[in-house]
Amino acid sequence: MEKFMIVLCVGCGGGLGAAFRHLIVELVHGFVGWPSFVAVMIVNVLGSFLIGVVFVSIEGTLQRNGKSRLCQVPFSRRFEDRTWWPDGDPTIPPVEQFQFDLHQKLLTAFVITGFLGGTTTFSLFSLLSLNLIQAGTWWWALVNGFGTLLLGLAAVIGGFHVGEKLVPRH
Amino acid sequence: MTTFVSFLCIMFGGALGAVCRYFTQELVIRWTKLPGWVSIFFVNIVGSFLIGLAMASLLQKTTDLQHLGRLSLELHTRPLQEGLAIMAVGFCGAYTTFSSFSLDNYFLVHGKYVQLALNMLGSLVGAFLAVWAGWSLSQMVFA
Repeated sequence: MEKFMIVLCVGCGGGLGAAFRHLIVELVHGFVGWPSFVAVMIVNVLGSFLIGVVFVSIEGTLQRNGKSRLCQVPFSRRFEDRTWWPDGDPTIPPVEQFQFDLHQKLLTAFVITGFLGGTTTFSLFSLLSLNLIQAGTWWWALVNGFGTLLLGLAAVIGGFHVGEKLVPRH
Repeated sequence: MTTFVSFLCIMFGGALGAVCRYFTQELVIRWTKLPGWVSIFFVNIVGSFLIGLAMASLLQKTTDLQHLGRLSLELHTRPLQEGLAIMAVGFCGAYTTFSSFSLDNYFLVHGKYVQLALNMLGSLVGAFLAVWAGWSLSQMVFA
């Protein structure tokens, strides 16, 4: 039953996310007139920023056993020492990290795995890079590849900082 | 094809893609016991191969994909193909993900530099080769 609810949340979020991506690509490419690899880059960087904000917001408000973490260890400058840093392997999917609280798990499934996962895309990014090379403009393909990678990483770091400001801390 | 129908197609494909990604990640993590970022790496490579395969077979000629947002205007003579192409964009686009990839990169920046380099360069080069392989294979079969 829990599994079914998670899959339902992921599906709903994924549908909305894909529609949101199409909307942004239509606006940036069809309406403003910029090339579509720029539109996909904007979508990917925006989604990376939001995943940082949402991850810290969800992790910051509740502990893994479901208790509030409003009174916590002193604030640290190192990210690894802060309360929301995952135990064990941090790169497992966020849904697996929130083991003890169903609300947290469903929210993560809807927002992170579903919506943001559906909004951002790697396949269109590589397809458009291939298309740029086929068109003979390989320098734009390089700019697209490394630019999206580095901007996405920077956006996650920015998102983490913004998310920490949103979470109440005492 | 109206905008409304194309949005419905892309929502359907997107929901299916996100659910498939969730199950693929679970399977990869459960079966291989590798670190978590490998599951997203795997999903991105497979999704790139699929979109190369799908778009090359659906578009027939090498249409300029930089008009992706205007897909519905380019193919208006073949409504079924257009719907399938949009559904492929929805499915493969939602199946692969960039946000979780960036989040993993962020976690790997803290000390695990070899894995970070493997993930970043491997995804970039691997996804490009995968989409190229899918595109070439599809052109060989359907040409």
